Amino acid sequence: MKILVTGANGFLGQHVVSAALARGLDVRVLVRPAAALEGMSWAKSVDVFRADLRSASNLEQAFDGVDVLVHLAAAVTGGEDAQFAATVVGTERLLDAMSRTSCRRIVLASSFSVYDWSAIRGTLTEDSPLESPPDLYRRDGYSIAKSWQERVTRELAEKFGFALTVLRPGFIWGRDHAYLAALGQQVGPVHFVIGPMTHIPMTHVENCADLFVVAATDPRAEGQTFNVVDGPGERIWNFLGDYIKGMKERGWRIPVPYALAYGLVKLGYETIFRRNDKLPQILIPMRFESRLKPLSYSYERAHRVLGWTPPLSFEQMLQRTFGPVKGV
Amino acid sequence: MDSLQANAHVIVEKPATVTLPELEQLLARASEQRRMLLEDYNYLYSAATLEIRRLVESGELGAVVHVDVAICLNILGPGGFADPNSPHPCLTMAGGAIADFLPHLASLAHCFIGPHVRADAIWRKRSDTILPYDEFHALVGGERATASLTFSSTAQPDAFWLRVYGERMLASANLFEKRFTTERLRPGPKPLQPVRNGLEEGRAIRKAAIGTLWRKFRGGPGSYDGLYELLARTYRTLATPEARPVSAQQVLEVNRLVDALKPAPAGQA
Repeated sequence: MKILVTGANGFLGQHVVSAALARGLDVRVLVRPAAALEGMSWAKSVDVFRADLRSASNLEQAFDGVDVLVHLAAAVTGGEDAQFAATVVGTERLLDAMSRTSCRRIVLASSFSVYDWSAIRGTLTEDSPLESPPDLYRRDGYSIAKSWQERVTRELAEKFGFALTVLRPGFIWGRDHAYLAALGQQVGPVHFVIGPMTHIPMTHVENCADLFVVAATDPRAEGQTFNVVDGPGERIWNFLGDYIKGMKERGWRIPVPYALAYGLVKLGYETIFRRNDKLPQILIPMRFESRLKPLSYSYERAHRVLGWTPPLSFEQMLQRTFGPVKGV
Repeated sequence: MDSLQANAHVIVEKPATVTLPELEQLLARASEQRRMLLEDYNYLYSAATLEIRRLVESGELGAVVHVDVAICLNILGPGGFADPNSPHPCLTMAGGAIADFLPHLASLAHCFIGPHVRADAIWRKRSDTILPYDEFHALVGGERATASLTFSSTAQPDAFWLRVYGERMLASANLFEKRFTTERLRPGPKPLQPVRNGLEEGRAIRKAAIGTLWRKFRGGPGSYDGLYELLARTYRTLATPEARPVSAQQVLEVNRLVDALKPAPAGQA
């Protein structure tokens, strides 16, 4: 089986390619023309197709001999317009090109950010409500783009008859990417831990990559949507402690009750800041909730449908993230 | 051109055209149609610029001697002008991405020094990006005074400095923020002048720093306040016989300066 991986040089993409090669798949990576691949351990083991999804006119060629598209490419920085162009327009152009090829299978990397965090209570599952306009446009550029990307992908999959699997990862973490937005607000060495007992919807990048490859190769995944977490998630207080210890930083944790912090943010937003959506993310109630709201999570559906369990234990994840680099 | 042809007044984002002859065609068509063609010189109507213009018109600043306009803005990131994967359309213009900012520099200089009589520019490249140039420095002789213009992609922090040197006062503003200060000749012992100016400047800087943060938190146009004002004046012009906020002659003279500042195409002296 041959898979085409977009965004292969990104944080998740690097690991998806490694996981796919480890399972004996043929891999072609689709990366931007100026992407540097020299540091990738797999650089010599894959086909490389260079193109920018926003503008390339030869995207069909990327699908030559490909059985499954694993679409990870998305902009994680830049303004709303730039993220929309890269993530949504890029996806439309890619899938339009795919429709003119024989490839009919796609695995999309969506995100937890597509959920309507204000409406969800208790447990967040794959069937929880999704954010929709007009409230969607009070969210950050990344959430807007990822929501539209999933929506556009579902529509085009139906139109062109693609077998689609949508994976929605929580916070993806790993080496050099261990400080999560869920950890609260850092001011110098002081960390304000908002809702210290809240569980973080987190997935280690290697576990997450493993589920992407399982979904790409297991026909039972077709037509399914899966949340990607490693379990109920560590508590913010504990994981921040692991982070401070692992990074050998000096840091102090100050607990702040979630309800108190949310109440103050909501009050400030409605009164003195007059619903200004250019505020820092943490001062906008909807974005505050999407980072910090205390909910429960599980990988129950991925386990039930695919028999998947995260390959790494939490101790192994910590070791891979904060321990010595392998081979050095 | 189509909008003018359809008998509409036109407000166009800068740069209105890629070349001067194209702009002259647009202006000629606007004149034939008796329509307004207005290029977006929004920083002419920023609160600080309006205050400096008031100081000039009231005589408080004295005659303008020199104007310094400098944009320090990091445009070297991979997501915008310097995107190596999908080249920005601006890069096809002489001067590349910096040409996109020349109308701002030129319109502010023109406002205080009048039409240019000579202009000398230095274009340089310091970064390893796809931008043809990332630094620009020019000296301009105008009918009423001189100006120095700068665009720097590497000088930090980001700022948009407008400094107007008058015979009695130096007025200085950062148009990206609310910072506006003056240093002026004052009655009394000369040694005390720097002290009084410094204390006043310090107060103004602190107040502006807090005001800029507060403006960000409260929302609104931010550093685009001049655009709101420019559009308000434009619509008033349509309803009343007020003078246009940007005249056709002004657009032409600014673009002549922009054209004079642009680098020669490769291969030409």
